[in-house]
Amino acid sequence: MIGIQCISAYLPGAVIDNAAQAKGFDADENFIRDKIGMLELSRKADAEKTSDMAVQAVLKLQQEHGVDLSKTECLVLVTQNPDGHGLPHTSAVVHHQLNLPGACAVFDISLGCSGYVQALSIAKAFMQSQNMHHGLLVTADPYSKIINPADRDTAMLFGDGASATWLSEEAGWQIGVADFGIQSQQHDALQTRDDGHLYMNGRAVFTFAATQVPASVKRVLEKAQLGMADMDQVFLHQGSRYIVDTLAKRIGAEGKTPFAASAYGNTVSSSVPMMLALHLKPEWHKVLLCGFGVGLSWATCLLEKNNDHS
Amino acid sequence: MITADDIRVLIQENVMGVDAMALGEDDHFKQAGIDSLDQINVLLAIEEKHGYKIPDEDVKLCKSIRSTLDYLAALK
Repeated sequence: MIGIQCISAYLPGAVIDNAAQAKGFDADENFIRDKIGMLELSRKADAEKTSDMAVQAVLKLQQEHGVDLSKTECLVLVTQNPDGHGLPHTSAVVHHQLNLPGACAVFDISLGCSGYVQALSIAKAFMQSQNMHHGLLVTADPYSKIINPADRDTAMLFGDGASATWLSEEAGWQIGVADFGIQSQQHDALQTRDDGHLYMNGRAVFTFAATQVPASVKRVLEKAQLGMADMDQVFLHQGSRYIVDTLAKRIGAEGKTPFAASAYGNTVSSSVPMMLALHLKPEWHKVLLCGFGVGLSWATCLLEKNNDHS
Repeated sequence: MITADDIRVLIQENVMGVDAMALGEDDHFKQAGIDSLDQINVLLAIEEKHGYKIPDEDVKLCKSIRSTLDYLAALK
């Protein structure tokens, strides 16, 4: 069974001081600390491409976990801010830069904050259907490419980051039951407009998350015939401290839903894997993952410890 | 019909650090410590508990308990 063997996160070196930035938006330090939650926002260098960030994440995976990249049979990249104009697919550039084997399925998935959780199931099903043994799932969606620095609704939220996950049959974590969905009548609540800048209807996104995520979490727990008490942790997309805290109350998981993005920001599809890379503990047995955002779509899944390979 | 105390209860349940029961009907939400994120959370609670649908463009009309009650009375 294909599952998660190991994960690494990459953050570019530069940061924006969000409290200092907030002064320009008439927002005080308490609002940044207690509501937005992001004290700093990571920023890639201007010349750094999406593919460069993806490559750095994979190289960290190799350095930190000793992954043998010559075994890669599948490379999946989740992004909505690809290199150039998106043709060729950015995963092809990453494949070339990493000198991965030619016999390798390589494709991008266009999803935002729900992307990693959806891509876990996509990659697992694809790999198992083709009897593949090792694959890379990479996320890199640098919103600094589309943020309008004068837009109060978005400029204080997003950071740049990337992640790389090694999927294999020797995995310590199994990808369990999942729930996916979309509230597509509000597809325009998060979008890149003709001026090239990100637009967000904050109220629509908040209301969507506050109502759909609890229902999705409930469905996953019912499918798994488990309760919230059985979960060691719930890793929610780190949209803001406020949405994480609100959802924690609404799903009955207070104390189990860490907010960990204060030093780097909302990294879109890298948000959930970054939590896994930095905070997943080996003594845990069941962790719930939920990504939500662009679409407006959601994806929730259960990760279960595989004691045969832990 | 939703009352001022109904709104105070929803503020109490959803906003940290505000004594909602002491909130006057004309107290401006923002000045009372209810910021824009708290406001949309309270409006969601009103929608869910009392069956209203408040369009995005009308959020700015709900600046205090009284203005929210007036708005909702006109809506139904």
